[in-house]
Amino acid sequence: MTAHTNWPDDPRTYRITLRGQVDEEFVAAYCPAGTLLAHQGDAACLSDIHTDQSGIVGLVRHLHNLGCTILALETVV
Amino acid sequence: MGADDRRTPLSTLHPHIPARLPGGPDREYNSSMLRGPLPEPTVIAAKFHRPAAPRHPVPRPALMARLDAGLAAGRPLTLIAAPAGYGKTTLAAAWAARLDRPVAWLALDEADDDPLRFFTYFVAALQRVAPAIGAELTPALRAGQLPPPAVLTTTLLNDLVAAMPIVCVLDDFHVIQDKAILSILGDLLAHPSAGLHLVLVTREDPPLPLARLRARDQLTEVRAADLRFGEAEIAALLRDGMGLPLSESDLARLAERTEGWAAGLQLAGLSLQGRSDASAFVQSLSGTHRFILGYLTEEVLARQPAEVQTFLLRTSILAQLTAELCDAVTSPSTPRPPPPSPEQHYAQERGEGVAAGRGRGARSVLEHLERANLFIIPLDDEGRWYRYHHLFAELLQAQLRRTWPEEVPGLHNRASRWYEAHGMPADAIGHALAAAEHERVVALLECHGWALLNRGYARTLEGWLSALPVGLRDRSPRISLDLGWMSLLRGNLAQVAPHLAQTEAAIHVPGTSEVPGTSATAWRSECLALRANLLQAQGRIAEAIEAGRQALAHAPADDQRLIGLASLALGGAYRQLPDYDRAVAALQDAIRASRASGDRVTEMLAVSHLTLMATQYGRLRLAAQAATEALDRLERGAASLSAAPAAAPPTIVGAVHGALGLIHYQWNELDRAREHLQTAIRLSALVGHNASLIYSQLNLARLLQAEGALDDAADALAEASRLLAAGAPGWLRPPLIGEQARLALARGDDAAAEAHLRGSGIGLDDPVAVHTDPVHLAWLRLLAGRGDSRAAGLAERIIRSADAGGRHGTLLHALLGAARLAADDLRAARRYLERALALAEPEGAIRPFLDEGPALEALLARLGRPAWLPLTSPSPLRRGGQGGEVVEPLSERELEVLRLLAAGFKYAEIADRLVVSLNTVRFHVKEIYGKLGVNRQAQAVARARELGLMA
Repeated sequence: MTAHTNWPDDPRTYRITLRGQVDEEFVAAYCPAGTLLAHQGDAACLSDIHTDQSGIVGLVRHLHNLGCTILALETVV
Repeated sequence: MGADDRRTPLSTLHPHIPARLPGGPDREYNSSMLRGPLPEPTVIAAKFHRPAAPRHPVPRPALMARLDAGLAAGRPLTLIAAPAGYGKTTLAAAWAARLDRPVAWLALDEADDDPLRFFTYFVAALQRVAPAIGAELTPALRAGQLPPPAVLTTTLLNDLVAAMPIVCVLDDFHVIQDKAILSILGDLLAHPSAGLHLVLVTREDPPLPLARLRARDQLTEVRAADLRFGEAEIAALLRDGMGLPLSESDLARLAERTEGWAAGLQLAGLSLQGRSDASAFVQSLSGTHRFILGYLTEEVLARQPAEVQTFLLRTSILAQLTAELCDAVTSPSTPRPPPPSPEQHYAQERGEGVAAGRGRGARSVLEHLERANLFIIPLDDEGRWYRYHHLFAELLQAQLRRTWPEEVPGLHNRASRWYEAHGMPADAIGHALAAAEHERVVALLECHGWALLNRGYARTLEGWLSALPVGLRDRSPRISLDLGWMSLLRGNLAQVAPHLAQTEAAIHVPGTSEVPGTSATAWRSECLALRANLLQAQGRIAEAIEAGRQALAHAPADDQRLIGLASLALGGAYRQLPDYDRAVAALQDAIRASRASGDRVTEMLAVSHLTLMATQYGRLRLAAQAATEALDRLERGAASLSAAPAAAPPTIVGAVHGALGLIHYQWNELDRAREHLQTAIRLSALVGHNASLIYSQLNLARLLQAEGALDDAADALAEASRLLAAGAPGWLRPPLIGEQARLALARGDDAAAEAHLRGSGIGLDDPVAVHTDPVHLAWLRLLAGRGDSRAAGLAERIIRSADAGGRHGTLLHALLGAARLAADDLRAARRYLERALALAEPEGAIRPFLDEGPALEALLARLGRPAWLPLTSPSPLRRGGQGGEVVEPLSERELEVLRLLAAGFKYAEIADRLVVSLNTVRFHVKEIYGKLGVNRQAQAVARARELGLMA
């Protein structure tokens, strides 16, 4: 391992805004520890998702397969 | 068909027993498919091949230790998740190679995202290291039937517990998105005690409850950041492995530029080999990560001899490479000069690889690539099949499209033809699609569609079809018909009609792709046969008979397959009419014709109809002959390795065993009856076929009752009731009620028997018909036992109806009942009895006499018993739960197990809860049964409560 900290595949913190059915149960089973769920109107927001590329891609695809509409995917500095 | 692929095939309308009976062909319906077993042995074997370690592996002790620790801690799952090119597979393979426990390896591809296909391979992979695992599942999977998830999970868990602990690596797991597959794997992971350690190698996190597993410390993870090469590892790879003279600052630069990314480092190493200016080259590298990859690939490629470059580009379209296939794909045109480059010239001057590449065919090029470590991965130990590293293949393909775009269709075409000639239709179709040769895709689908559907390619086939231009896919009668038969066979009746309509439309389209030897008349006849089977399954009997007759009238005289299919529909329809003689004749035609055409499924469907109906009608000999002959043929087929796999769905075979169980029961051969019934129950449970299961449970209940094991009989009936409530055809209700009443009477519980009969909705005075027989016979037994004056009249009505309908089984029972009622009038009694004996003797039916009990025995004694009818008394009472005290007290642990059993926990759940192995739980249960003198769970619980051992 090297001292580099911000390579593209390194874990970072993401936020996903989506429309669809997501509940605490889902967060507990499928999202990295520390992930927060908030509802804003008919949209939901998963924040503090700390994971790497494989993790975020897998999560987005999972949400997609569940019928959720992804509205935004951001990294949080 | 996408949605129903996930359903249990044949679940709703299997041709089982009476009522709704579908029919259809199976994989052997196409005679061309009889030539051999699964035609992809080499490639299939490649799926199970663990990649060999590179010649100069980079030691990764920290990662190995982490993987070792996960296994040692008994965590059920290891996840190796990172984008392409991080060395995931290499790590997993290197770790697996040094494990001292068996490792099953399975490389997945997109087509495996189908439960049937996935579990067929998954079970096969496990069987390569532990042959007993899933042995019971294999026949169902090979017949294209996915067992219900619960059965699949339980069977696998039980088998895994019995086997040594196993590690199973699933490579490229990101292709799996199917919910059913993931849910079953999730269930397997939920039982860590089963001894399966799963390693998922994937580009992205799978939708499994990873967070939960993490929280419970049941997950070991290796991710991109862990896989990244540090400077020491880069040194091991490039300095030690490739012998490159690189300085510390070169290494640092490479680490920075490639971000420790294995694929990038590998490429950098390859492009550095043979350079005198390695250091300068490294220092000149600019850009990072992925951007460097394209540049490096071009560098590496350019350093190859011209022929190797040409070879790499042309073969980059292949998912797997074998020398013969590469020759076929690359040979037709002469090598073309690749884009000129100084490195190429340089390489040729040095003679590197040229000897291997030039004029010696693909084999030597492949060997050269392997020696040069050019991102080629052997897929077997014999060096026959290879594949390119995915990333490298993608880059090569991109370059191929840039360099020689006009060549691409021709390459795919040649690949497609090679695959077709070598019996790998799926790959042939894939390449034909890539070549945009749509007519060829249709032709291939017409030839091989059915075989592919049966091999778990249903979803893939849908994908191919949707990739075809609209209009073209609708113009093939063969494909539409195959889809129609498949829908019927899977019980998805609603989808049959659209496929039929499409077929019929296609027949009328001028220029319809013609399959040689198939006339429009034959198409029409097959449509009618399919329609007849559909109508029959829907209970539209008159229309089914009309369609079936027309199908036969239009069928070419030598088309035995078609004659078999049409006759099957007719047989099923006549059976429901009911017209016994016509049904038997049609079913015998169907059996004869389908045997001639090698259509094993139609044969078994017809046999099961015939067996079940003949049994119901008391023609035991005819039924037994048809059944045993068919089972023998199946066994012989399975035993002969050269023959196509015996692919009759276990549901059908289960039903035939169920009927044989009843026949042997009637013959008073109780042990053989029990064997057949247990086989029937096992096979039917395996594929979740409730109708067959209930039918066999009912027959088992009767057998147990005859043996005096009334509690066990009650358990079997309770199970049948539960299954019926869970969903099964309504015609099973009368026989269930009949058995419930019979058992209540055997227990002297007159009131319960009457309650059952009253609840049936079939009144004493309702007309007697084939579907009311079991209930009317039970009413007769109840009334006769009470000395009710209405009994004699009812007996007469049953006798008249059964006689007119040819229902000899019912007739025999009614005659015996009438004889008992007439015991005071010896002449009348003799008349009934003689008729009963005349019916029973040729069929060898003994049990109906015994089941009537001592009253009939006395009557027979008075009137003279023929020698063929031995009247042994019923078997002695088996040890039930009654009487006796527990000799040995239960241990604390046993009590705990018993309490959990009583609370409804399954063995595996108990094992998890008590943190013991499943085998330990089994051992405890055995001890408990022994101490309590019982042999069933329900009895154990009841007995323990009786003895005050638990609340």
